[in-house]
Amino acid sequence: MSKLRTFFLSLFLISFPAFAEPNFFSTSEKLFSEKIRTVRLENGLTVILMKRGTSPTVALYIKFLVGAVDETPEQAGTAHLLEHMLFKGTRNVGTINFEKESKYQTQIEVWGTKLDNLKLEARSYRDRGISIPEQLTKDIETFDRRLRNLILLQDEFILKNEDSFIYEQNGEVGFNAYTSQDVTNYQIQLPSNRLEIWAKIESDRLKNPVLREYYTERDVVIEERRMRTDDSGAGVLRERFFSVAFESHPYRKPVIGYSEGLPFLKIDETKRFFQENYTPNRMVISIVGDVDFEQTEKLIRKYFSDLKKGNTRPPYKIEEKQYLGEKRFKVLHPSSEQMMMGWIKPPYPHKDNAVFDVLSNLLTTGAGSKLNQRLVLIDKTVNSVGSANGYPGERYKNFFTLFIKPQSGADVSLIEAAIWEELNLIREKGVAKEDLEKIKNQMISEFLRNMDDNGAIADSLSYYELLYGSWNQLFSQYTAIQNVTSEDIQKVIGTYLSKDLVVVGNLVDTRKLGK
Amino acid sequence: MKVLFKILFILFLTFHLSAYEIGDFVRDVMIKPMDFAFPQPSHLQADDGTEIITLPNSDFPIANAELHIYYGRKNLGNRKTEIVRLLEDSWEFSGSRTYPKDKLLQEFEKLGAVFSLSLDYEKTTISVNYLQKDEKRVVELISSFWNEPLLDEDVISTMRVRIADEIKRRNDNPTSLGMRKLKERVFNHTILGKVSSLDGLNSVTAADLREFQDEIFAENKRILLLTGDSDATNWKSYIKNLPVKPGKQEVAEEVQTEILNQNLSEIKSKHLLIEKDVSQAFVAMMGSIPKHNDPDFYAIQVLNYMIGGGGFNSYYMREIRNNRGLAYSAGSATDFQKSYGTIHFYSMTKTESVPEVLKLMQDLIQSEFISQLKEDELKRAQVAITNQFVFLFDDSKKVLQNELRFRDHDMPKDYLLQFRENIEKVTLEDLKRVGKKYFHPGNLSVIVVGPKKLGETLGKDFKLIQPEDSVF
Repeated sequence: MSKLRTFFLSLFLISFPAFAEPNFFSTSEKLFSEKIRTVRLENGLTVILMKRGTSPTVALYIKFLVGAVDETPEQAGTAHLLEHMLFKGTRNVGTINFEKESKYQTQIEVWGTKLDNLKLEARSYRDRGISIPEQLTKDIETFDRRLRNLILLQDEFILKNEDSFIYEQNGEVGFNAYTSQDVTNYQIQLPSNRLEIWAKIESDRLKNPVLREYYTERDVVIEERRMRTDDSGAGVLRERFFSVAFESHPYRKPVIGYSEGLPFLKIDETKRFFQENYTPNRMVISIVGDVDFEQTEKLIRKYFSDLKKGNTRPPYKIEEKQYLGEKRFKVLHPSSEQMMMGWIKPPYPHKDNAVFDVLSNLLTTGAGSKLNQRLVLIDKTVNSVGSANGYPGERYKNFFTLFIKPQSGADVSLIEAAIWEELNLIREKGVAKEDLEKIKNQMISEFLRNMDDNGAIADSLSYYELLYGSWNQLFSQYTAIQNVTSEDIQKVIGTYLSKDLVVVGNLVDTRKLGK
Repeated sequence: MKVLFKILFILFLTFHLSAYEIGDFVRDVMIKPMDFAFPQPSHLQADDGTEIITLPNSDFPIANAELHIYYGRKNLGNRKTEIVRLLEDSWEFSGSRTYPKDKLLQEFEKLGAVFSLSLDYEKTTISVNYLQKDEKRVVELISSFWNEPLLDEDVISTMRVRIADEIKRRNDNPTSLGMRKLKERVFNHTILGKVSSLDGLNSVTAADLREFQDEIFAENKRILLLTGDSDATNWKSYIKNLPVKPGKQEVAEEVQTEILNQNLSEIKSKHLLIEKDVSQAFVAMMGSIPKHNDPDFYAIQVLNYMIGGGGFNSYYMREIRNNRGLAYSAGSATDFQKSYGTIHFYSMTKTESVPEVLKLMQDLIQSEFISQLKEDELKRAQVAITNQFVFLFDDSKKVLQNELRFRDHDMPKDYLLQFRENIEKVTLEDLKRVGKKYFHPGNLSVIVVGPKKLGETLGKDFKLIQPEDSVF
């Protein structure tokens, strides 16, 4: 019997039947500590190693504390585009001869930027109702041709997707990346004997990136936006919701950027964004699975020690501050009705954040949840209802949000009224003890379910280390959740979930409007 | 002399640099051999014949049990296809006589357990994920679900309304709309090709649901998969609480590749433009491939990997996304089943690029193209597939589900042992042969989901239909 299981069993025996006791996560944390080694390099890079499982595989996650929230409005979409661009190779990978290739890369950057500027000029004429001068149209055509020729010349030297090829040949699974408002993450799973391949490729990616094929990849991102936002009712509603909900804070921008801005994102600016933000002091690596602590630390030091330390980022001046008064909007789109409701709230580790985690569960998780009971099973006005705490990011003040899919033709004002009724009921009468215990039990099993996957663990450990300074905040957050009382929930509803602070958005189906 | 040396040096350097081959950057990294043993699940048989397959893992005190009952949508016969979905939702939310309506689900929720029921084409599966300490209580609840079934009229009515709304919303997403329409065509004359309708849904009665539910209870081919912190001997006795009940059953349909081939050849207008107001169109093609246990399986796997299944290294991603920036996503996927198989190719692109992307998708699967594939490309695909093999075994639940799937598909006993060797045996000739037979664009049904104006550029080969129109 493994040590881990002995620990958990004894814990359950002690705590049963009041299983949802607050020491569960703080004690689990001690057990995790025995399986984890944290390494901090001189340059500020933090590495978390965790040994677990029986499969000879490892999950490898690299996370940076940089996301869409760190962009200026002009740069909207840059963090995400950069994530795409970092798969385009380096001076060593993705080229048969960088020395020869580089002259074309330089030229492409120069002419591409000039072409973008000319296109912006043309757009400005169009917007003002002035016909575009003939010379400008000719110049755009010439520059466009020149750029395409340069791209063809550079192509002779490019080895497309060489990193992907190398990983594929070494048995990768899930080689991917994501960008959120708060972080950018690069992930892969490999057989554990391929660790040095990963260390060599990933350290090179950070030391010698080349943003080749920039203009083609920018088009790919524009396609991605069409897919995720423009042609998706939920995407359009979400984008409008946060642009209305936040008045000044950068969380109001979509991670993918704007359709009118993406075609003009500058390569120079993307490079600068990389240099300023992809530094070891804002970076955490987590490796989970079949890990040998000594050898892995040695490898990490060999490949990542020479990354240059970056500057500390000054705290942002902008804080979301709003006048009282509800915000309400409609957005038209040819897809079925949807609804979002949200309220601004403080982020973790503020003590009220954990209360919202419990509230989220109480309202929408499972058949017995309050809103599922009321809206789906009793009123039968809604197909499904969900909630999220900490949307769209967790570094700054964020939103507690409800997502509602109404029945076709249902009166959304009645749905909204029912939601207010349920919230008021909880505020006035509190939450039954058994409901709270149920939620806490659900959270423990959910935690254990997540902990059975190398990738999920690596993602969580690196996230908490990066955002909150230590991976063990994962356990502190769960411990805080276990301590939430009915009074806490009543107080939070009274403080934050008021009609003066609510944002309500409705997606209206244009097909039904005959538009 | 010095000058000559310089020239020779430059020549050497140039030769060296231009001789760089893909992957050379990590060629110096030493790879240690890896010890790997196939996980060995244990097999038991309960007294009623239910087989129990288990691969315990006691790292965490959480367990997973899945009861696979070999009775599903394939057993519907001529009955309405809407029965399955309505039964699935109504059964789960109706609970049992002791725990009526959603009370049963709430009892599971109190324990932090996750209970679910799914009625698929082949099987009905009851799954529960629970904390080990609650095992006895979980078994009590499942027993109640099995032995005191309740199909509550009020719940049925709620679920009917909910499913009706799903039917109304089903054309929101261009990808799922396109895939549904392709399946309607390729699986015509089979239960898989039947699509739910509002009329059909409204005509299903509670008696229809009870009849099908009783047939599921009467199925004696059952397999229980156990993973996590679970004890198979305990479950051997628990299974007595879920007895097979006497009752009549309907014979299952068996979809054969021949039916799909017949359907594909009967489609007069092979190409459809399904009108939808989007800025990015969905382009897809579907055809038939042989069953899983067919000698061509390995060659199709390799060719699919090279063309569209191998992510960034596949031709579709390279040519459509990387080289031209025409799509965010493009690829292909195979679906091998016991007695048939399908392959589909897809891409999403801005509407004005549809003709270009469709042509590229078709060009890349023409026999002429496939016949030009090179030995080193084949080798790369084989190495990639065989090196990923270890990930089939990184999760015990996945190991058991795969074992069951391979057995259901009548795969040879040494299938996994021989898998890598069989992949390595595939030759360029094999690729040419399966390419011509299964990948050729002339054998595929093509659909585009996009605005009406696309009809002008796509030409006469495309018939314009609305999302709810017939596909024939």
